[in-house]
Amino acid sequence: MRFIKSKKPEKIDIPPGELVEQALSPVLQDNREKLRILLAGCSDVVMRDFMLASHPPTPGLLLYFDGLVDKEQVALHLLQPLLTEQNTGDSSENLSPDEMLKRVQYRILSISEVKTLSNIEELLHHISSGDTVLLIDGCSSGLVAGTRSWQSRAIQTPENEITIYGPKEGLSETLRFNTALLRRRIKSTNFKIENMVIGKLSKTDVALFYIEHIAPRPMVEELKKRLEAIDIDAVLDPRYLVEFVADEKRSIFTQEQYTEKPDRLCGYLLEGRIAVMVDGSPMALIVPVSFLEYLISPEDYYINYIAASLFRLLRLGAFAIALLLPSLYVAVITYHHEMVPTPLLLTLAATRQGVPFPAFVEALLLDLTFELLREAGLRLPRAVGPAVSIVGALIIGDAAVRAGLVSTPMVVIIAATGIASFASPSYNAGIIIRIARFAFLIASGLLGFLGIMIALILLFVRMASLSSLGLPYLAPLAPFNWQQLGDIFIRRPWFENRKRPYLEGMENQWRQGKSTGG
Amino acid sequence: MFRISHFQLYCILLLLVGPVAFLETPNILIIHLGCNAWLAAIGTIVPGILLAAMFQYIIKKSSQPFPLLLEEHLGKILGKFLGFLYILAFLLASSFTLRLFVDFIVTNVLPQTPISVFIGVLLLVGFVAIKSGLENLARCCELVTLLGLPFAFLIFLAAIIENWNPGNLLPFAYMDLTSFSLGLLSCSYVLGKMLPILSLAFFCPRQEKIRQVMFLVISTYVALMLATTLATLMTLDISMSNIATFPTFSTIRLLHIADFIQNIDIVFIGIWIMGVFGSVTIPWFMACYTAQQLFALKDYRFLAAPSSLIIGVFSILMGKNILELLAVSMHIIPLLYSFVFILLPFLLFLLTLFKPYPESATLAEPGSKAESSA
Repeated sequence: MRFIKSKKPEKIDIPPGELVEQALSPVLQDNREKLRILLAGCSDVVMRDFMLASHPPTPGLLLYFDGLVDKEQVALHLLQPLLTEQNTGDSSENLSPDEMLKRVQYRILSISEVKTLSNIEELLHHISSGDTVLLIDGCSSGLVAGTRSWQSRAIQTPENEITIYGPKEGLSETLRFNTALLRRRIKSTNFKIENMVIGKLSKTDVALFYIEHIAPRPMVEELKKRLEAIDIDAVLDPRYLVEFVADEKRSIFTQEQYTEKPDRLCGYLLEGRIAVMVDGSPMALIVPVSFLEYLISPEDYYINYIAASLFRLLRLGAFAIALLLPSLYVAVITYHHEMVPTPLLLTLAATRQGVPFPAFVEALLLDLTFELLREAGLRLPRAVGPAVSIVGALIIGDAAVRAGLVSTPMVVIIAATGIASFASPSYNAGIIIRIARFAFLIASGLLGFLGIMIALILLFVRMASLSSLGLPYLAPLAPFNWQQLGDIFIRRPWFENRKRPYLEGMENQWRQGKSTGG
Repeated sequence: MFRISHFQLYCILLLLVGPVAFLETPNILIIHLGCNAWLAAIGTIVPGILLAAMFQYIIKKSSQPFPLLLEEHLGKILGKFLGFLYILAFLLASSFTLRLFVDFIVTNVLPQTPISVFIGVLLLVGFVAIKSGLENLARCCELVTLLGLPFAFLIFLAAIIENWNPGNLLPFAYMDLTSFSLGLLSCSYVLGKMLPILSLAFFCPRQEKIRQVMFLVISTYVALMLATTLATLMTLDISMSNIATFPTFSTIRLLHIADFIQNIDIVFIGIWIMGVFGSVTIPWFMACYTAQQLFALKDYRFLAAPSSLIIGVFSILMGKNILELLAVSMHIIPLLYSFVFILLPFLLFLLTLFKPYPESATLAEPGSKAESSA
């Protein structure tokens, strides 16, 4: 005998906003009616009625979004046991609703993840996330089964972080795959993954990754506090979050790092950094980071440390060239001819003969054209993008020189600058360099070398004032830390790299036992 | 509470004493002592250490940072009066450094550009730095020192190696005591500019290391003066050095590396600007900070804007041309700096000799006003 008999559904005239906040009703028909109102227009929702094979049979409802669930799992591990009531052992007669629900949860369903839910908001969140919800008439709680499975990109090599050596796996758009990729690499219970949901409409799963005792606890708490304070309708990528959690929100200098490589991400986590991943994006956001870390390539740790150190110094040189070369050239040509040896000066003068623009305008135009070509190359379809870039660079450059609009040395300078700017392993750093280069160019056009130095001081002042989750942006250069600088400009060998870079509040700085040595 | 590291303190003090002295002092030393100018540079280490010991003693005997320690030792009225005097002195130091540098640039590098342009631009940079706080200023000083100091030594080492001519340094020690004393004074009074240590020491984590920091600053200053004087003497000889207005830069201008790198004085000036930025901004910061402490203001940052106007106007009105400025630099500035940065602290030192040590010798916990605003 049933304790609660099915009643006729009442007519619902509550606005949907309030409906969402309501608890589940013990009357299945009521729940169905509320869900019908809330899910009106959602053509992909599946509401599957069934009769639970109990004595007497009890009406039930399975609810999920088509395309987000593994239908085979739903059929084999949910529907089939419910309809056939296998392995029940005893009679279902005289069971209270709670007992009935527990019986279904613990003795009937053969799916691994099952838990109870009690309100409609929870129900909607779960079905939107790919879970299947089971409601049984007479029960004021429902069951949610983990059946998440959707079409997703397979694990591929990240396109933007190419390495020759080292792991090739890349993060994907599915958060759970990414957690698995990381857990596979750090098999410690200190490796924590904390979940939260951000976005009023998107209800996006956001995960916070850190290693306990290595990541400074105050930093973790501060980041969580900032993330929890976000009130936005949707989060589609970690970059949506960055502008909320950054220390300095109105700045061109990005205070975070992104990666698509799980090995690189683990490297950061092992140095006490915190990562944030958003379901639906393959990018992991890493904080705190300092600017100099943008010069480090993940591959540095997979090749010989001497070679890696030389490559780092090369990248540092490339960074300086990408930032300063056009402005230095303009300063020398416009204001400080005496610095150039006479034969070279004569050659430069000969090539500039007939060019109608001053060196500053020439550099500005050519650099802008280069940036335009780069942007066009990125946005064009992959089949034609590189072709347009090459054709643009070769043909337009050659035509401009032949027409006497620009001088050959300037083309060489801008080309060298462009190549150097591609040497940066971080796209973020590349953006900063590209923008700052124009500022330096204008400064050199106005005051020559002095202008460049004044712009450089302003850059230092600005950068020194920034921090990433409390870590000074120019660390370990300012504040100066000789010990940590040893693994920035050069790559320290592993046998000497016994300590992690220190972060305020880090509990365990040792990454190697004291007996390890080379 | 905000702290500055010992390295940051070193950089700040070095930028206070180094950049301007580097332009003027070798010239003055050569005028007084000729080929033995470098001996006075070495001799500076003795008065330097005495000055450092004096500052260290004043710090030990004070429970509050400068300028509050003036009131602590001299009473409220005299303390406030002297504090006000120091505000003016810091503003003067900032204005004079700025004007000297700008006139040097206009005379040697960009003669067509009005001085107001350079003054405006440098004030803007300093203003931004002060507005962003002492922590940021200290970091900038670190960067400037890390970039500038090795470069300066490298250049002078290159000049010495290229023009290796020890004969220019002979006869050895052929000088009278008066000239040596004058040379020593000319080279030493600059170290009085380390006076902001009386404030900054209170932001440092460990007091016992402050002595080492000051000693390092003095050593670096002496090494810099020695290298500059030696390079100038070897490259230009005494007669040429006496003719040149800025023999230091003439030395760099004459440097040719590998028959390709030439006339790199502008590169050096570029690097030097960063030092000048420190030399202008730190006294300016001290003026704002002293005013804040003296008048019990909530913050010092807002003082950056009005004080920039004072410095700008003051530096424009300071002299008609570089000759006037050099005369001021030779005859007035040493006396003024010696009085404000050495004699007055010396009197304070004498006074503190008869005072007991403060009860709370924890220098790491300065007055709340100091820590809240920095």
